[in-house]
Amino acid sequence: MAAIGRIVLIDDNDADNEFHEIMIRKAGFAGEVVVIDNPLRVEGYLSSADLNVPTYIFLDINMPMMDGFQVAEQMVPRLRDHPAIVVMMLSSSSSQKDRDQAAQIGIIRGFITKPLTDSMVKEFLAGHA
Amino acid sequence: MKLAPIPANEAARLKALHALGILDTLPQPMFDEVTRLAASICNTPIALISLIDHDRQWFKSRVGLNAAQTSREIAFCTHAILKPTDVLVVEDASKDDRFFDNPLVTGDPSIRFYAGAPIVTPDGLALGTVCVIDQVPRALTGTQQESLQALSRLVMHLLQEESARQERESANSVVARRRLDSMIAIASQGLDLKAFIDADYVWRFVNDRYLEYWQAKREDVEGKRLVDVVDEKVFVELVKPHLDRAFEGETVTYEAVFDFPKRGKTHVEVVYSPARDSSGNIIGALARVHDIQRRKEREAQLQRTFELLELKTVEQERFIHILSHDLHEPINSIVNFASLLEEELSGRHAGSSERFLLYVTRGGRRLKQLVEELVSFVQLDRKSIEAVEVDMESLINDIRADLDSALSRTGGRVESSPLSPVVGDRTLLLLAVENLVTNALKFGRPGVPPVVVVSSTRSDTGFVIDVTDNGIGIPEAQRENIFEVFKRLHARNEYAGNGLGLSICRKVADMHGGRVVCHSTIGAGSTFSIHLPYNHAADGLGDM
Repeated sequence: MAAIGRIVLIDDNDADNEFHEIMIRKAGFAGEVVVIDNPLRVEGYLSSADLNVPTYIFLDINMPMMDGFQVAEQMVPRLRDHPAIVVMMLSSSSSQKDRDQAAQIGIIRGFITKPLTDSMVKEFLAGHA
Repeated sequence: MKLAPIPANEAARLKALHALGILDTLPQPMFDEVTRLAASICNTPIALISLIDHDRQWFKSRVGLNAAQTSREIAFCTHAILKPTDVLVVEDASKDDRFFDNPLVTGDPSIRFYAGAPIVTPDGLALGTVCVIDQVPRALTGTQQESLQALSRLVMHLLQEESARQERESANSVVARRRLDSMIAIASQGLDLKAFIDADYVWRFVNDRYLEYWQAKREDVEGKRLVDVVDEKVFVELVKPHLDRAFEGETVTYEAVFDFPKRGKTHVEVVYSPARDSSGNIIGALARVHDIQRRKEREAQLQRTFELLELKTVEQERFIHILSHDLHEPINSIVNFASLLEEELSGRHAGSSERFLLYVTRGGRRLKQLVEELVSFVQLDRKSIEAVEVDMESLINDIRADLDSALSRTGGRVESSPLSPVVGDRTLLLLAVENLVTNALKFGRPGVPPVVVVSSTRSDTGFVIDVTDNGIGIPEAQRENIFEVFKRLHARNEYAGNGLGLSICRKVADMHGGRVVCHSTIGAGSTFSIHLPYNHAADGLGDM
């Protein structure tokens, strides 16, 4: 897999976004970090983004208006043919119910529990995830 | 007039006569055939079957005579029965010293000739005669006498047959009567409303309960057509369609609400079953109406309780959600940023700030752990066992990975020996064993690297997972308490933890129908054993 060029954080929690961005930078990632703190703006962002750039999208579950699962469902048609875009659920919950629901959605490649740490990011960047 | 002596066997004779039950019965054609035949054979105007009762002679059948009986004194037959084997022949009664002044000779019917063949029981008791009478003197040929005797033997047979038939009939009628009585009793009694409705939709029988519920008199129901009494709409739409199916041979059950006078609207269960005669033809239907009002009320109450419970479950679900999501977020922020601050401050000799920050970090971590354990503890209630064969080696490897940081922090290690597969819910067993190992690492003796040995074995009754440590041990007095929720044996600054770990272990064991026991030696270590019985854990996996 080509080097990761972009990491997208979709989460309404500013503190988490800031912390995760620090962790991503700490892990040595120099590419683009996109923070989307409103799930309603995901669709608009994806419609204008270059979907051929190898990307990690970390998607929170618990958000107002649209939860992470709804966002993921909405992304399915757009991302189905773009394997360069990897979607991971990133949630404060580790409940089995959420894991099961995530497993039902084809484009979700993994499920990790917050917080995202620099060592985890390093592993993703190294392609170990 | 010469009276005939009373026979020596008179008592037995009368008893036999009365036992036949023939006296005073109605004329029967077969006996009349006999007298007609006798009259015809002997060519006489009168022929009789005469039976001698204690004070009269009674004629079972008679030809040419109006009287149904005479007094015994004047009966020719009383003489005839004195010699059961002989035919008594009186050729001219007016010249016989026994009969010449007999009113039957001097007056109506002016008997001159008499011949009587005794009717004799198999025991030799002469009950009466078959006799022929004429108003002119005459004689009988030997053949005629023999015929007369043959006829009296025939009468004896007929009397016996008739008696036996009557006995059978009366026995049958006693049985039938009893049967009917019990059936009426069965039908009348009981808490249910019962009715027999014939194929023309007419009530033929209803029990007392039926009348009581409908506040009706028997005569207002029995013999009446349903359509004339029941509300027409109810009859056409509800009663008739169901009854028609019963008339087709089906047992029909339906529930309805009937508006009984006084009782008001009442839930009932109605059963119509086809009623058949002895040859199996359907002649109507039996209706049974069972009052289920109270059952319905209880059901409604149960339903309300159930809904309330569901609501509680939903609330619990929401509570778990709040615990796992909404509490996690602020806790994460505290923990995450405290650790960033810690990094920034380290090496700057910030004095008390650094120490204060340490308290924040520790507090945040403990809060986070507490919430996680609470969530898993509450979620246990909602989980059902999925028993599989669990490879203990891989389970312990998972635990080693999960506890990686605790192991490197304490310098401890997890060993395994021996490990045989266990049947149970892997997720739950992982949770339980991991909690035991975490405890073992937590309660190490100062200065001694913790070593935890996990083994799994099979016993006669089930599987046993032992977790043995080389820690501080648990005082005997406290071993009972350790499994209770939030029971901590140690001051917080001495050993971290919140007291849920062992409760989770016990719950996991409970869910498998098993138990957790603890053996401990102060200063040497403890062994926690999870016992899992075969019957529960190994359902469907019995021979593993």
